[in-house]
Amino acid sequence: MPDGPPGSERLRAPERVMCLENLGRMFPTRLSFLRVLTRRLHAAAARVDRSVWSVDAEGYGHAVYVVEAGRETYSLVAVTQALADEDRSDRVIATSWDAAFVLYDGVPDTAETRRIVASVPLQEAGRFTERDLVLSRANKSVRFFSHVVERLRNGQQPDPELLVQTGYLMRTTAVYGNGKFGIAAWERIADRPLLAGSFMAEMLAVWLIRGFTHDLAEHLGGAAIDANLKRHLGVGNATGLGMAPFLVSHPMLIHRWFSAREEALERACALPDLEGNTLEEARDLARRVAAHLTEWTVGDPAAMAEIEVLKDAWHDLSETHFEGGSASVDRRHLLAAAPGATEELVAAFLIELAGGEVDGLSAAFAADEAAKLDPTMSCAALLALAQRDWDWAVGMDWETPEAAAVFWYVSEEKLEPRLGSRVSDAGAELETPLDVARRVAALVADLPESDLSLAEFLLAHPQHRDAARRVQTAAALPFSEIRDNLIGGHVRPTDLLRAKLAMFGASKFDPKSDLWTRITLVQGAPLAGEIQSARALDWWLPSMEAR
Amino acid sequence: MIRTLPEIEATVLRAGRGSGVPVAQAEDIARAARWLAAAGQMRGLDEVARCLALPRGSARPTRWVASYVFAPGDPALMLPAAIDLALTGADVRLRGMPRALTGALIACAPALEGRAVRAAWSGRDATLSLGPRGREPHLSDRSAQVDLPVWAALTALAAQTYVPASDASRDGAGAGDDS
Repeated sequence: MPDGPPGSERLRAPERVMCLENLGRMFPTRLSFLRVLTRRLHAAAARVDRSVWSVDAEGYGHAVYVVEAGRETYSLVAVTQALADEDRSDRVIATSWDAAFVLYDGVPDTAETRRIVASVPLQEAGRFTERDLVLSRANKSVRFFSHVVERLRNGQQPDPELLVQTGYLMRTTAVYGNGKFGIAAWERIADRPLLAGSFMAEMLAVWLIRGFTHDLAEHLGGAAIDANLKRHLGVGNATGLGMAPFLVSHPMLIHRWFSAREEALERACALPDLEGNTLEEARDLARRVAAHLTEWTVGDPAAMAEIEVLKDAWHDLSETHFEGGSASVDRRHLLAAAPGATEELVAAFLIELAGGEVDGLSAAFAADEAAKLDPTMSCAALLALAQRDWDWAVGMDWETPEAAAVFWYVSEEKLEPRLGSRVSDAGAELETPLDVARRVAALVADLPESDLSLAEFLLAHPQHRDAARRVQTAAALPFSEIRDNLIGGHVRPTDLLRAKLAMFGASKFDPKSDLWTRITLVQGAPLAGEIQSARALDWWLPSMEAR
Repeated sequence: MIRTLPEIEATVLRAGRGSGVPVAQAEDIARAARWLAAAGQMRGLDEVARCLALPRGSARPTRWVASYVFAPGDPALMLPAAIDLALTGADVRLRGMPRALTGALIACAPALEGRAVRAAWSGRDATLSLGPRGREPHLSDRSAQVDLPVWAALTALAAQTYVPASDASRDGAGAGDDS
């Protein structure tokens, strides 16, 4: 039986980390992309200037924000328009929004600003240029937005309780990057210090959009929002199935993300016991986590029950290790003692405490290579790898309807991923290939235990090429695959969304069904004027109470 | 029409799948199409569209005695298979295969232990062998001008992977509204 890749035995087992249940419990960490972005902005002593504010008394018009970070300059062009209540929808099939945005490469001149202002409300129906790096749109959280404006007009500040409940003035419904609708391909910005890595341009756009939402509310309210309240106003987001297939179609990059996270956890656990100042710092952070969990309320009873379990477990853990007078806490023991539902929160907590010991690991996010097949491998060697790493898939009874109860597909309407029931929905013959486990099982069923090269085997079985490549890739890069059946009746796409959104840096996950979730981004993040302060470095799991 | 490199790759991937090419081969051809566009070899995209439009056949060589000979059939299946075999050190011959697509697939294929596949062309035929990787042309990161008929052919094939909208599909979209 072959061994795993060198060094992988130090990390948590990939089958434990990468199963859907665990992915659905993930939290942002200091390696999350938004945290990486704010550290880079801080390091570059970035400055944001609102160079254009052409917004009327009703709140409609456009604005331009210019951010300078070292030698790089980008601009957010924001456009707002009137939108009838009946047209306001977060669904992907919507065609108009309260606000639309482009992150622009450099500073747009008058003609470029005019072009963007005219085209950006069209979103997918428009066509953009390589100077445009990110395309996005957002809708108001109408009741809360109105509340904030009314309060400001009356010389009052927003109700903190309501602010905690909602967390944002607007929510984005899509943030497009990497070449979509004509905007720049990722390679064009891949070597820029601020934007190198995964989704950094998108994160910069979101951070700037958040500042615009603050300015719009203050413009309409005629007064400033208190900075402590304003900092807690992030950007909401409604995320559906659109981003789920990415985790399957980019195995090399996914390995980079999750192996860096696991390496960070291992380094965090290997640090000396928490004592003295480090114990005090951990105690403060544990209290912030408790406050954050208290402020995290959602409408779905099952999701709320899970948060309550987490809250209770965190309380017990804090009492035992941080509030009970312990003089020393073994970090690895803290992780090992965490009950199942709490483990990912403790992992993120330990990574946060590790600080600069782990921040450099985010450099690994800067590449996205294609997986390669080694056709010289023998069928027997591939079979051994499959039996070692994919036993859970190979041993599954694929004849039962439950094993393949659902299928993923692309809808003609918006060219977006959707999920259907194999029993009741049409289109299963056009299934998107997210059935990786089933295809690996099919490969193993046909694979002879012989010296025949994979190249020769695939002449007769070309349909197995993807599964063979995935088995090889997962053997070398163990965090490259979701270790679960994505077409099973039990699948909850929100587990996939949670893992990816946590990598982005999202918090306050608020699942509305198994298919989509609301989240909050950049809540607690530094405001534009604070990016050069220490706040830029310390905003994990923020809370109003602990601010 | 102007299309970005990610748009070209994504559309060719869907076109490949829409035309019945297995996903791994469709991914390889999509990356090759992106490479062709980045290298400015836009006529190669026409080869890609024409290959994908062919009826699906077999990946098997036409004959294999002293060498593996791949004659015109289904290049979308045969070319990845031929390159795989060449990487094992086998003697591989191509007869009448699309030259630009072959070159792009070879350029995107892995090098094993420093040895990459190379093609020696004689007219419309080529012999594949292993050797140091050839010099790569300048690859642009800019958008490319794609011929309208080529793009129309690719998008028509890609559309064969789409499921028409229905109430059920809208319910399956996620990201709905709430109060």
